[in-house]
Amino acid sequence: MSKQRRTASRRRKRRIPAIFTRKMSEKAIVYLLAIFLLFGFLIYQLVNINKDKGDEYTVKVLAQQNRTSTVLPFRRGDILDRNGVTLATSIKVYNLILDPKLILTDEKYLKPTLKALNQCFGYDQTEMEQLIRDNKDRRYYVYQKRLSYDEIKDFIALASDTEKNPYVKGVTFEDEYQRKYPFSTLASQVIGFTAAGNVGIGGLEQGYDEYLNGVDGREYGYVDSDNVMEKVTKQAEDGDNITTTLDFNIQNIIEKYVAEWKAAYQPDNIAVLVMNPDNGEILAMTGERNFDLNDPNNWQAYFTQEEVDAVEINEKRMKNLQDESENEEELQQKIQTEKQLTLLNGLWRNFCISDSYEPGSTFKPFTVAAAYELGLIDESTTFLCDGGEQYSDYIRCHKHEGHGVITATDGLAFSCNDVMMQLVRMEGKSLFADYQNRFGFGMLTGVDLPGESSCAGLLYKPETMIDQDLAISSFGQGFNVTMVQLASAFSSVINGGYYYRPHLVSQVVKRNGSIVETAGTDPIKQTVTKETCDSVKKGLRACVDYGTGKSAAISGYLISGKTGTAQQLTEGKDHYLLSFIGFAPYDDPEVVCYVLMDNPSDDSSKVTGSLYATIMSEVLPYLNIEKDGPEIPVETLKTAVAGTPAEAKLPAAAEPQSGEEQSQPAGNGTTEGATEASSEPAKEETTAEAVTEPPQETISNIGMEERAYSYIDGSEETTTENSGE
Amino acid sequence: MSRENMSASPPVRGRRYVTTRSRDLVRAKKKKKSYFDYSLLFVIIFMLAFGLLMLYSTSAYNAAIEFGDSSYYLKKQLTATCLGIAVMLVVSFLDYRKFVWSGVVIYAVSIVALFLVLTPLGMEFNGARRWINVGISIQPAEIAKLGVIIFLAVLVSNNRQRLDRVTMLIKLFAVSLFPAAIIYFVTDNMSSALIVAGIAFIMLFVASPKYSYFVLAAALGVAGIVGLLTTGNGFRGERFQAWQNPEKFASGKGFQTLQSLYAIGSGGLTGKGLGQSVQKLGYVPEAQNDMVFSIICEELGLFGGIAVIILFLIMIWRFMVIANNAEDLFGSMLVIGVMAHISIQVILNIAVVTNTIPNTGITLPFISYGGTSILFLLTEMGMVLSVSRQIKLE
Repeated sequence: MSKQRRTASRRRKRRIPAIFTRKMSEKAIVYLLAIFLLFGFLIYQLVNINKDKGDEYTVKVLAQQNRTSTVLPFRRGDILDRNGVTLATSIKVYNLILDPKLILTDEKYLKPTLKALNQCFGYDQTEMEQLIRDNKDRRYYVYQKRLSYDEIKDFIALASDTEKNPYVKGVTFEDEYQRKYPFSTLASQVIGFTAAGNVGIGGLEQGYDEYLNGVDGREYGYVDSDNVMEKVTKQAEDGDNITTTLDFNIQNIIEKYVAEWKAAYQPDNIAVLVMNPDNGEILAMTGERNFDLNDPNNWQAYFTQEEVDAVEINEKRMKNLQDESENEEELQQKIQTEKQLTLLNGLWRNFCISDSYEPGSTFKPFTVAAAYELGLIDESTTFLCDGGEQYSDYIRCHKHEGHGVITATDGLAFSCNDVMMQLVRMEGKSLFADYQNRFGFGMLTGVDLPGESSCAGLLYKPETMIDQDLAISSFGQGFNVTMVQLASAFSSVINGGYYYRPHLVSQVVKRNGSIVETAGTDPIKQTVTKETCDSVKKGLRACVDYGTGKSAAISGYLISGKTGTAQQLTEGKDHYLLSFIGFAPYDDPEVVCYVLMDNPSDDSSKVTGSLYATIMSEVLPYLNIEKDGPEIPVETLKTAVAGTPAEAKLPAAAEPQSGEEQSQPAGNGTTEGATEASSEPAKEETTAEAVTEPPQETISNIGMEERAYSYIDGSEETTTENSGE
Repeated sequence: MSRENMSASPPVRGRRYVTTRSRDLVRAKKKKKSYFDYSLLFVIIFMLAFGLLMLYSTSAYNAAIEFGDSSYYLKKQLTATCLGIAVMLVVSFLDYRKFVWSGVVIYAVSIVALFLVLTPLGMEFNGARRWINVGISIQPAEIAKLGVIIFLAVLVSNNRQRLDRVTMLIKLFAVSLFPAAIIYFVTDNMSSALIVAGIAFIMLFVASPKYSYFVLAAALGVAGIVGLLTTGNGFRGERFQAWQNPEKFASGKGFQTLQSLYAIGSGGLTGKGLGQSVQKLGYVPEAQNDMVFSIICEELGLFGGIAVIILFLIMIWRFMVIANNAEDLFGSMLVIGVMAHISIQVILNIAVVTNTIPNTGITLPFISYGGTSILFLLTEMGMVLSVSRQIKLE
């Protein structure tokens, strides 16, 4: 018992009272300290988030905000031709947006909505239901893009009939604009196209991008002080329309005949430029082939896989591609894309302003004009053409036996090289270069399109050129021009000496009709005097009347112009770059037309002459230009022209030179200053994008290739001329 | 009661009443007036007011969109808060020592209520079946927290002699593990189960004179939870991955966490200003619930966030003081239970919001939306105040 009591008393001694003991208090404080530590750590975390990611998250939050407010897209401006024909426009399309969360808020919404969608758009109901259920938490789901108004109007009517269909919910439409080109391929290089986000690529779309684009509007909501969602709408500012100087009909005409001539003569290249010499307005221009502006990236439509494979990528670019891609598969993919793009870039390129070539005899009017202007000659001054001139090499006239004693007018008419060489010898290097400059060669014309070439590096400089360079330059060899440069300069020589900036846009107009900008109508400089013009025009008229350009004659008009044939040696085989530039009517020229064909199957200049005549015989009546010349019997024309593609197939017409150069019997295949060498620098340029200045050394290339020119009578042993140095 | 006798009232004051009132009456009156923790009451009221303000700020947009009434959530919370304040005042005036029986009753009720979730009375919300509808919707897990606090306080008080024994501790812990297991397996609510177990753990830790068992148990517990999270597939496995790399799961499980981080990060030092949060406009999903702290940080900045944490610290400090001075062990343990409850929930909530731990649905006491939660929290506060009222100053 006592033992029991003892243990009991001991236990009682140890008994813990029913209070919060010192030990418990101590442990509670331990816990409190743990809480302090954890809270401290959490505060540290909070500070860290702010310090490390604060800026990033602030930006993210703002970025998220933008997504919720709705963008109201602006409408890109239209591109119109001079008569208001729409060449490019933006049409409103609608994106179908689903709000699965809203649809699923009530089961009674689902079925009617699905039914309505099926009825109006033919969407599969079970598929749609699955999609809506899979995205049950989303409030914005773009189901279909770019529906037309016709496609959605049934649904809108159905959904707005709230009495009959009260439960069609959660389907909205969002506006968007899609760029459309009603004539798809017409003037494709001139108009250009747009990539995603209204970025103009090429042509007017690029050149006038900032006018065509407007400013996006925005509709955003905010919660006001009463917690009501307020909607604020800032309307979009539509882009400006541009009225071009292009004439839809003339463009159609030239494209029609370019296609015909291309089919008949299979040239490597063919281009036509029509402009108004009185103000520099370009009425039409086209290159070898057009592409579908509504689907510009579809390379399969224009190129074969073999052509793509044949494209070479330069080493530097190749190395870049290798660096960019992670594996072989990706690299191959990139190479394919690069090659396709290279081809497409060539396709999208506007030959008339971006590519250069040696002009050949179409340059002769400028040589003559400079001589008249300097007072070195008058219309009665005569020259002896004995078939050529001796420089470092013997430079021949195309008529080897010589034209005899002729005036400058006849020099133009017969396209005599000898006369030209004598003229530039009188002018001298610096004056010749001065006049080249004055006519705008080697300079940008300022045409309002992207990618213009100046050819500045492809002209001889007076301080470095030698006599032979000067001699060949006189008849358009040894330097490069672009079509738009030559046509603009030519316009000034026939219109009384006024040089107008060539341009394609006459007006920029706001959607409400107010005019933003009008192209200047004043000439930017005077190249030559009226008297000089009259004298040169006589020579140009003579050329079509009885000279090398007979094939360009049209009944009822005093057609005047100048032929050009350039021999080219590319990869060992020669071919010719034929051209013709002419104007009408004679007294007050209203249209200049410049046609060019590279390496046609028939190398007589009648192919370009006939193309010119065919185009002009439609363009002149279309423009209501009064006839100023005698009616020419069809028979006479036929013998002279004999160049329409249909006739070309006839055996009689197939003989070269039959319609041209009657003064010269068949023999030397080349008619005039046939030339080469420009193919090298020209190629260089086709790969470039914008204004390209080929490297200086191409000049010396020109010099080195000279031996191959048939107008240079050099022996086999003749050493290379460093004429460019 | 021995302690009661030890307390001496100032003799001078006593004498003034001796002529008019009996000694016992004077002592009773003195006892009643002896102490009341006004600091705690003030913190509670401030917290409630601040909570309602933030709740309105965070929920107005969602309420306007979902119910067309921007004060929808505010009204419901206000109702629960008013009811809760009434309950709190009533409870604070009652002598907690007379309600020892309530422990086993509330505990039993909560067990029954948890099983009721499986019956047609159960309610599903956001894909989780955690509520029962008895006129008003109630989350039984909240009752269980209160039940475990009271019941365990009673048991600890009764078994105080043997709290150094591991068997006794396990037995007592099992009392909490039972409802925790039900919460976890029946309502699939891991966070509430963790809180219930955590409350019991802290209460036993404070009550028991031992450290080693608890350190060991804590280590095991943490390892177990981590194991459960990493090996668990589906819902929890993905949550775990989203925790490690929320950016990668930005459109899925990481969305809420990431948006919450954006909110905190964009708040800066002083925040965008009250009501100026943009993240509450549909980005932080149900901003008025678990993620309310992130919106506080966005609107009031680091400054506001830290102020809230300090407020909770003050509250916990008051609990500490009351527990230390309570008249008996039962009262102390009640307060320790409440302290454990609130501290665990605050820490876990802020840890989730800052992506310190994987996302698990834990509300921020007094501020997050939740009627049952606020009602039972205020009941607990009433208990603590009741305990404080019984303290006599020495």
